[in-house]
Amino acid sequence: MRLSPRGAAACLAVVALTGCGAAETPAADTTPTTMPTTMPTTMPTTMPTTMPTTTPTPTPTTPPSATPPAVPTKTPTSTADVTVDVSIADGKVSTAKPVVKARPGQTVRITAVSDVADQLHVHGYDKALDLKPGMPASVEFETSTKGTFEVETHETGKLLFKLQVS
Amino acid sequence: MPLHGIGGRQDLPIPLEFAVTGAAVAITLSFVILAVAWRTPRYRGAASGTALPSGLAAVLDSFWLRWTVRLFGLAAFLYAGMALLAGADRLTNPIFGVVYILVWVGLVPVSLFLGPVWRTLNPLRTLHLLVCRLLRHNPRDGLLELSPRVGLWPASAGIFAFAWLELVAPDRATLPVLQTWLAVYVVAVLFGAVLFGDRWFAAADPFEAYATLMAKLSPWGRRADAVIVVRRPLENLDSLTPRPGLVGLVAALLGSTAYDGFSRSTLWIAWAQNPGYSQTLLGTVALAGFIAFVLVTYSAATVLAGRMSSRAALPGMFAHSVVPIVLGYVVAHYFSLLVLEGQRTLILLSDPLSNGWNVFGTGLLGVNAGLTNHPGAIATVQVSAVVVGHLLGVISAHDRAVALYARGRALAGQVPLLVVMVAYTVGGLLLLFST
Repeated sequence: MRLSPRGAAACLAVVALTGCGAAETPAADTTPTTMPTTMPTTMPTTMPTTMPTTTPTPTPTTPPSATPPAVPTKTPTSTADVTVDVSIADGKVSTAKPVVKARPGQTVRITAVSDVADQLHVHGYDKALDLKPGMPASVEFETSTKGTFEVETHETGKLLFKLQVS
Repeated sequence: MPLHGIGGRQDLPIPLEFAVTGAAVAITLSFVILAVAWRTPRYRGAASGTALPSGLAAVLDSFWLRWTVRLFGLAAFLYAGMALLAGADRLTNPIFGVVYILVWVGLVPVSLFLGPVWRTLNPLRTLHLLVCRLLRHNPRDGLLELSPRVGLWPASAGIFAFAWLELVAPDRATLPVLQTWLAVYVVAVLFGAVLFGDRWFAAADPFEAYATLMAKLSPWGRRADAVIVVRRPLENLDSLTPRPGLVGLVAALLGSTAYDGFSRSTLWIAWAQNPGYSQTLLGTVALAGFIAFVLVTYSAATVLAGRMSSRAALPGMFAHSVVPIVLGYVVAHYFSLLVLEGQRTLILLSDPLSNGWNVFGTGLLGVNAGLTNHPGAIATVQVSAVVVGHLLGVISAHDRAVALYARGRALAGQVPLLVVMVAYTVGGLLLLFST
């Protein structure tokens, strides 16, 4: 599901420069879905056969590599064309805009903070960002393919916002 | 919520002026047809058609061709089954693309271009046939008689079940969920075939029922005298025989496609992902609600039409006219998905077990995403599909109305259905505009 290796390279370069990127798991596209385990309790009786009650949801391993400890207190000025800040608390998502627009070739920087450990995932561009409780983390990448891409959390399965590249 | 469904990219919303133009054109055309179109029925359905040259017809009906197609379907099924049962539980497993893209979306163009081939391709039908041959049993005979009142209702339920799997089920892009669903599907279809004979496939297999419906918009058909003919697609559509459950089938297809668009809207997601709600329950209710909405509005319109023109109007008599509208929705929602994810699936198919095989030599190819650079062209295709689907639907309904009702009253009788069709079309454009 990798659409832009170019974007990945650019992203790594930027992360190296700014020095505040959290560890990125490169195998994000191959991670199977993990949905909240509390999901399928209230299913209608008409559809009992397709119940995935015994789905062995693989628990994602937190990356063993030590992530750079916390973000510096002063946020470095970002060079990104489009910046988005997201916070997730008590299962609620707060963003300034539900739809973020960018043009192809622009860099997008997403800074997220969650009150629980989670992983942020940018669909289509397949960018992943590990979130530790209470610690802001950022991911930056260059857009290429046009379309609408969902940015969501893996663990809690929430849509954070949609990235519209046009 | 398409989280981790197949396909990381969705189309851009269509521009406002596209949506407005599309709606205006659809509404205007509707009234133009009502005012100036023919006053006597033109389509003769099953009685119509030009016979193919006898040589070609003989080849099409030949034992060898039939069995080649059947065995191809069976081989593809077994190959996909290997990926399903022995493949890795990640999105590099081609089975997700095979089921959600190649089969579910791909059966539409296959049926449009090649006509009713799905029933020959249907691997479960072939399996049943082979076992029956082996046991020297007539495949038509089952243990029980299938009541004609059952009609297409089992297939309608199957469409709902598949839409639920694709759009609502938790962990739907994981192997165990897909395995469970497909196991139930195979057992239900084959067990029913043992009980009721091979009529069960047409009545209950959602893929075959959907493909058979779409093949009615192809130029290929069989005349009442069993000769293979070529005819105008709308004439072919006219040959669709009303039967119980046909309205349910059409409603399930239109409603679930509309729900697909709706469930991707930020408004719905923002509301449905509130903590404390079960997304699965909300999704199930909303999906069922969309299908029920189509079923109720459409049936009400035809009943009202009957009241206004004559007494003997059944919803099924007009169900064929919704088929082009379904096609318009399907093209608008899945056209770019088929092009992009279809390529990816064909690439992944070379390595069904994710262990480095390159069976078809496609494994190292990349997806040509050039289409994404033309959002204007994609939007044009989407809007055109919805508007043309609407237009064909209105024409089909008009022809049926003048065939069923006395002159003059036919016009009045069309109005409720026309209103409903305009609503579906404007709703479809709105979904494309807002998502």
